[in-house]
Amino acid sequence: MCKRKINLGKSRFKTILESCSLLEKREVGVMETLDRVSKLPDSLLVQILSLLPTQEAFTTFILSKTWRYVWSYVDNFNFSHKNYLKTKEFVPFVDYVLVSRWLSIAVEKNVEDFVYRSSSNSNGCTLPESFYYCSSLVTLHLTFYCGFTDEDIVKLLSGCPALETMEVDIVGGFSRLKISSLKMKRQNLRVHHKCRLVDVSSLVNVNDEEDSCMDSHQVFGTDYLHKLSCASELTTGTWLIEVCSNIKGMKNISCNSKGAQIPEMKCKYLMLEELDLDKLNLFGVPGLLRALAHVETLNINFTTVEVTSTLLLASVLFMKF
Amino acid sequence: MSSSTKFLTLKTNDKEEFVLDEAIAIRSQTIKNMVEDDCVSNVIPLPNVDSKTMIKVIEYWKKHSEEGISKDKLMDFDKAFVKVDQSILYALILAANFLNDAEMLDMICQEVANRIKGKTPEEIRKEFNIENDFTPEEEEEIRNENVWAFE
Repeated sequence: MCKRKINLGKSRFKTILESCSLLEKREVGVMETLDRVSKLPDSLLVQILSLLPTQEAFTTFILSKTWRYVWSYVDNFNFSHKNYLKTKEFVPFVDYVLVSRWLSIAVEKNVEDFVYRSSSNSNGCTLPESFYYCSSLVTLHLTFYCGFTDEDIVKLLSGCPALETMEVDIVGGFSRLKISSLKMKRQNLRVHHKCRLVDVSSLVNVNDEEDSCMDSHQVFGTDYLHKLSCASELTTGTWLIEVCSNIKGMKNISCNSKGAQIPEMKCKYLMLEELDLDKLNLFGVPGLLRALAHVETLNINFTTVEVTSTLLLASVLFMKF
Repeated sequence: MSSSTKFLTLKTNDKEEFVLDEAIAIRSQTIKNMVEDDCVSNVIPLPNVDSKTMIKVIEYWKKHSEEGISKDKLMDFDKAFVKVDQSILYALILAANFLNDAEMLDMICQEVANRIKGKTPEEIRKEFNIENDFTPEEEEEIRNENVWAFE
């Protein structure tokens, strides 16, 4: 009699079941065309792929859907430069494999804060599939990350319900952003291409200082301000002032109600980054400050310091406070 | 201290019984654990190994338990041992995995890896009858994402 029950574990039972079903099929005599190897438990497929040079293990992702991500679980790396004519191709491959593996492990371990920093945009990584469904993720910082498509960003924002802070500094990729998650509170966007904020109304902290987006910001004008109206902290560049100075009726804002075109902004802390006084339309400043009636702290960072302009701006600001 | 040889009876899922020296059978960690935990009555059932596969496994165990056998001879034996059909190889992997014989499992996995090695994806699919279930669009897309794999 057994004194102790043997714990075979879940995967063992899976093995038993699969083995039995195979035997039935074998008796029927259809064995020669069966794809047996794909039916092995994942742990065994990983063990097999771990015995191959990593590049060959990786290539199996194209075989079929079953094999798509098996390679990323290999527990043994064997990189050989021989297969590559150029170091230029070898290095990104090694990075890709290692980074993918680390990221998969991070997701398995319920990562909450993730910071990715690459020194340049030439060796960006791709987040593994599991990252888009990471329920534990709270903060995400990506620098020089390539490879976000519009679809990816939708997946990420819907698949990571706990995400509160997102800071991205990316090259290429998505072109529109819609955040429906009520959890998302902080966002720092620095995109080096045009990107349209479709709905970010839940945000309380927005950092959007990249002036290369200015064209699209201007197009959306006050509509854009509405989207940011709930933000209590706002870091921005010249574009916001430009938007304010371009809005129709702006000059009359002080004497009639047409100024209502500008939404009431809840912003308490305003950071104006890298103001270029040569380009700045100073007439926009009073309008901006009127719109931002709740501002308690104003921080300004100049790129160029020219005494006369600074004095002019200072006098404008003085009028407001 | 008893010097007499102990025998175990192993019963495969097709009701065949194999009587085996315990010292050989405990190459299987699964059987070893059962013996050590005193879980063994008369017959050890092996619910997911068939007799055809068990014959191969016992052949392997006996050869690897031979006293004074040279490494070269064992290597030759192993080489011949894995030169079998996919169906037998597959059954052997599952059996080695269930019986928890790491040495045997490693050897068979290496054989499967060797059958993959140096082949193009198309050749691997053919070798293992793997059906490509990507649509042409999907395949194109993931190929483009990973261009360096096909340099």
